[in-house]
Amino acid sequence: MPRHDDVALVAAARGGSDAAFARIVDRYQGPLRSFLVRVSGSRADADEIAQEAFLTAWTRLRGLREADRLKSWLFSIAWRKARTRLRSMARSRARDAAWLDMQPDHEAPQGEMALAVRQALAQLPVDQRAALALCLAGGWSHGDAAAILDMPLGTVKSHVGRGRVRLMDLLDAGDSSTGRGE
Amino acid sequence: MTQDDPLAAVFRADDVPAVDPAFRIAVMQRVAARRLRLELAARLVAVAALFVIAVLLAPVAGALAQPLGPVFNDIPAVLCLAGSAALAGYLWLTRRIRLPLV
Repeated sequence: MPRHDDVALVAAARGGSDAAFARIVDRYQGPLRSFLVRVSGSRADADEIAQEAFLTAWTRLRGLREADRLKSWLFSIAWRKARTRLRSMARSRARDAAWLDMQPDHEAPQGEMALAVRQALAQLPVDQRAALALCLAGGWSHGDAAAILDMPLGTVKSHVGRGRVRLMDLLDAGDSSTGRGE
Repeated sequence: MTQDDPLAAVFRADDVPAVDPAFRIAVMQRVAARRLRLELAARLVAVAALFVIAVLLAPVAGALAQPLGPVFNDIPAVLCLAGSAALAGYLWLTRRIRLPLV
């Protein structure tokens, strides 16, 4: 994705162009929502956080110093919102779990593999989940991920390394238990 | 993540569609709502500032108007002045405001 396009879009959006901001939304909604689904474990929560992130971005667009770093700026806004929301959700999750279990086909991801990924990711700490989602799924470098997550580089590398091993273990365990059941 | 990475396919299975028009519409609706709130707030502040200025200037204006008493006896002139002031106020309040978004 050419970054000079981002600079032009940011300039136009700062000038009041809704069309330019809508193009920014279209350009980055896919990767941002995918990242948030992996972090939050829920499509509905991810969409809500992503909408809030874009809204905050629109409000603070004039404060963005390096327009060519628009994507990482959006991700860092989304991460801060996700972290705050996940903390409050953790308190209500237990209360909601019983109700959600009663709903038919509640937010079923497409396919068994997607379900297995979400279940495996959900067992990791949220920081580790976010580092994995950025570096393994999103293709971000460790340095960029560290900037987005506001963590030291070493911490991100450690999260990715350990998270990767644990995720593979969880997915393997899921496969073998499924195999035993068949 | 390389194409050979076994986790690549695993993560791709749970990717969100690249573009969802409904999502974009939802974001732009929230943007429009926030812009409306910001503009209303800016205009409210402007009206409040005008009111404060009018209150502060009332004694001065009263003192200045004392010698002009005979002039204000002329009703068409008073109406003309009041109308001009009202028009100026209307034009000022309904001007396009460039919001400081930071």
